[in-house]
Amino acid sequence: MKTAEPSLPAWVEEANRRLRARTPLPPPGGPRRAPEVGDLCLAEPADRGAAEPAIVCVVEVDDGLAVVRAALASPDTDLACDTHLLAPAAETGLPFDLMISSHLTGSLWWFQVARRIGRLDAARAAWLREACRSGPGALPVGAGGLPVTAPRDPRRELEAGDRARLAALTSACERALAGGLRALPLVVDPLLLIGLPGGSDGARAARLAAVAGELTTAARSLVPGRAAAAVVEAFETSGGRLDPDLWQALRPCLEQALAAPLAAGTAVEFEPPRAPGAAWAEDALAESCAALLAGGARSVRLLTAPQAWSGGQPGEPAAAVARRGAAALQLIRHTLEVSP
Amino acid sequence: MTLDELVDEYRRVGIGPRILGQVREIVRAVARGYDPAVYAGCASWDDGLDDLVQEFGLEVLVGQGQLDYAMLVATDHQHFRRLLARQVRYLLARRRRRTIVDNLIDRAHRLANAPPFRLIGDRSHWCYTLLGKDVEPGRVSDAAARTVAARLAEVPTIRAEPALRAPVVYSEASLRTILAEVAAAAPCAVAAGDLDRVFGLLLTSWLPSFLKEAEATVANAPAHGLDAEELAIVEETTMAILNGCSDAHRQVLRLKIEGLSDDGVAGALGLSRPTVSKRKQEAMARLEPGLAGLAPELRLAVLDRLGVQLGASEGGTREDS
Repeated sequence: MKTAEPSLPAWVEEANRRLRARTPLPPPGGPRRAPEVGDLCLAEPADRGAAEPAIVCVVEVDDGLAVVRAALASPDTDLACDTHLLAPAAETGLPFDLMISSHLTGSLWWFQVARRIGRLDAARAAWLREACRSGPGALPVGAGGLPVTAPRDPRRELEAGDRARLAALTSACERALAGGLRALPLVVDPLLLIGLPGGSDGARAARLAAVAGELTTAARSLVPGRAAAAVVEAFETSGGRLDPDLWQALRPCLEQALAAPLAAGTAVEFEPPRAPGAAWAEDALAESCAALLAGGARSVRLLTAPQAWSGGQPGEPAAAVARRGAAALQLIRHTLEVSP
Repeated sequence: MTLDELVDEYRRVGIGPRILGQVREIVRAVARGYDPAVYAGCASWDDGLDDLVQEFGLEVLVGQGQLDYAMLVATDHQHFRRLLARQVRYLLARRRRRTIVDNLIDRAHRLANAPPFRLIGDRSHWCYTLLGKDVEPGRVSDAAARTVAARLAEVPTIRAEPALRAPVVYSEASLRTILAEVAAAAPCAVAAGDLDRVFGLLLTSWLPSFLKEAEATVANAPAHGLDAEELAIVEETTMAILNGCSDAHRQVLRLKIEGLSDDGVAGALGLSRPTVSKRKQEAMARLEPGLAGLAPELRLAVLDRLGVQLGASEGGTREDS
């Protein structure tokens, strides 16, 4: 930081000196890692611009669904009531104090809380988690604000506004979660069908059989259309030993792929990036993600393999993200297990 | 002005001319809706505005980290201004609470000088306890202050007129009860600073009340259906447009807002039609950047406000071409 221009009033110089002395907030775009209980994050709407971001504190993490349960936080600590846990700046590493609501919680996809800005200390994280579960009585005396006792306490109205603010961020995830993990569409990574490097025909046949097994148990499945043609090719080269279940699952995709021209403008960015591979496979996955996004999906399961992705840093979340414009699709990565 | 420009300045220097300009505009616009006698202790905001800007900059934006917060969550320039406007309102509400708490502490000092209390120390460094109670050295902890305040939350209060600068809040009996409870709960003598924290907490529910009262005083709120932040935006946009216009442009703008044709404006001002057309274009060039990015209802409100301001400032002078 440079110093302010000399024409500014003297107090601005003092303000900037204090700004330079504090620990700045972590910038966006830090390393990807799975959220943890106690994380303080900037929650973004599922579709960028659809709602105002807000600070939340993670109180539960579901690795299977790649969602968190998070409590709404606000810097307006003067208005805290006994349902709020107070988190002073000195304890969180943030430049502002927070009050975290133990009774305004909601579910968010991991990609919505990817920007972590601080952490609660272990004791406060445990108090908050307990208060979210069993009520504000679980907060130690003196850790929260003053109770709302009067029926006309204006803080009741402020709470209604906070509730609406949180709902705008969580509603997409809450709706999608209603059916649980199995209700989420299962997308097959096209690379599983043919594109993985190495492996004998036998290994490929075993892999395809495993894919078939997953497809037959999924409530909703999607094999990217362009991949179908490649599988047919594999079917032919393997001497027609393709699993009949897989063929049954692939046939509609193939018909669809043959009947409709490829969609144009399906530019999708993956986080983490995909490993270099066959262009047709990337196009096929991008096309499917774009179609799912257009249909309103924001989270799906993706049957995939570690080799299909770059990165693989320790602590990296199991869920990848496909972004197209302002919209994001969470890909809950399930590694295909092949019986030897 | 875009949010990116403000973020860039914030990252390079902290508060620079752009952010300071925004702060001044927003503070001026928000303060306009509050009585300067109640919220600044002066007759006019002309005398109290610089102090308010400085207090807001040093105590709120930097001291309380609200500039960092606004830079973190703002999605665009208007959102940034709304966040700052909200914090200005909170600051004004806290100023009012400060006045009330100071008043309560003065009354507490008088009460503590008589049984059942024992006053210790001199006027500038006083503390008190209960008669006959042995006290330890030290201060009342934050947690203890919160605990005792929570117990006292239901002590009855006296609601006051919004225009009253420092309402009494507690009757003498209620205040005596509070002092006794705090002294009984504290292992140490209770200092004025300890009472300050307890009273501040006890007035938690008053803070939003002050905000609501002040909102009700902001002119035209019911007519436009806009909240205080939106009215602040309307006010500051209007002033920015007016400050960017020459007298000649203002005259043209006023008559166009009144619905006159270019010929009508030319006739009213005694100018040629091409001159009016040229000035209209120049005036529009000053109007459009101010309106860009505003929601339609805010644009209409700005035009309404411009009409009012231009009408009020119209001196009836004509200009020769």
